[in-house]
Amino acid sequence: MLHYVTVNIDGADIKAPKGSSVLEVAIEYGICIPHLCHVPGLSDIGACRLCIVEHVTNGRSVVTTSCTLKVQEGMVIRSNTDRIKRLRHNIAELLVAEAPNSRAIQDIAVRCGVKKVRYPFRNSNCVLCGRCVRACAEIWHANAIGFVGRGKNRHVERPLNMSEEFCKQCDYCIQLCPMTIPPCDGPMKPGEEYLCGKCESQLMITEEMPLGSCAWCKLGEGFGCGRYAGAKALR
Amino acid sequence: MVGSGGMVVMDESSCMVDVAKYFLTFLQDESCGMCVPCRLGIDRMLEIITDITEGRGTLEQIDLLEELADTVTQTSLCGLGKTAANPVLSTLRYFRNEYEAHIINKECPAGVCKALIEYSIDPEKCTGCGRCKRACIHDAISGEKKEPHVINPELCQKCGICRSECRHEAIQVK
Repeated sequence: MLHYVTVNIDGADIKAPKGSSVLEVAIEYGICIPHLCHVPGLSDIGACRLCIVEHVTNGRSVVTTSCTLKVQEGMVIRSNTDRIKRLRHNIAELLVAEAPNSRAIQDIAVRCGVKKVRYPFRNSNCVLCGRCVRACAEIWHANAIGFVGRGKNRHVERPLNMSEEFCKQCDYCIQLCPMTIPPCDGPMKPGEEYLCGKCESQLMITEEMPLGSCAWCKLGEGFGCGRYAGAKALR
Repeated sequence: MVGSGGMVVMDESSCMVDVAKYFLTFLQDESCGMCVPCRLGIDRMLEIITDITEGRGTLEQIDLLEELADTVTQTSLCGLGKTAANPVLSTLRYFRNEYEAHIINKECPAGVCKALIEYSIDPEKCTGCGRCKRACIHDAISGEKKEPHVINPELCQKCGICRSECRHEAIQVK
């Protein structure tokens, strides 16, 4: 039998099944918390830090990732305070400066309110969200790819850079990768990157819509975005 | 607080911007690279501080540095990231004037940051002994015996060997 606990997210009392994470509960109830490395059904590692929320205990709030935070009875969560918005904006800015050549990252940046990128662009091909690595290990138990190196040199690689025999050719890693969809205007050349901001017009619509859900962003479908789920529920 | 919170004693010949840069370089190597604020945040802080030590810094970059340091401290996954910004924050708090000197006056008060300093020989103190001329591995010092020597700034690599060789404290750093 499922046990339920009551949690308070952004002022709304929500009955949530015990053992689920705050992020899952929030998305299910249409509270949009931006996230990148979380994939439903896979384990959460809290690598992207975009889904940060304030967890209020005894009047003090702690910033933590909602994907790794399990619901508890009487929990108070704030996902949209000024502090969280500012921190999330800075993280999204770091991400988009690192990898502007992805519609997913550009969309996240716009959603987190990034108007201007204050760092030089870098145009890397991977943001190390670990979606592919976890999908390969947890769904297929194949472990055909993994993280190699540390710090700046961390990258995704086949074991010892050789065998393909573990790979089951399922292509699931490619489907989950946020870097596979280029921005609307096509791929950016190195040295010519910019903040796209194309999704911004859709955000304007978003704010006028009930529940803050967006019906237009196709990307949200593949990413299980809360806005998309909420929009589907409305129709 | 720098490093692990131990006490570090430094005199005025240590450039605090350079100290922050040293700790960030160390932390960048130590970071595992899993979470975004630690991996990218430290990298960007190091980028900004390198800009400042090489004379390309702007005053807005100090504000950006403070904001970034705050973000890294609050959102990192583990203890390394949460304390990684401390060298930057504490040097900014107590030695902000050194940062500003690097940016506004384009000078390094401690004479450490190579892009902002220049070596020269005080002609009054120089006895023309030739120690510096023999020691210089870049052949940047010229001069006759018992006459004041001169450093050619185009050849000088600012290694500081001449300064440690000179027995008359004739070599100045500006």
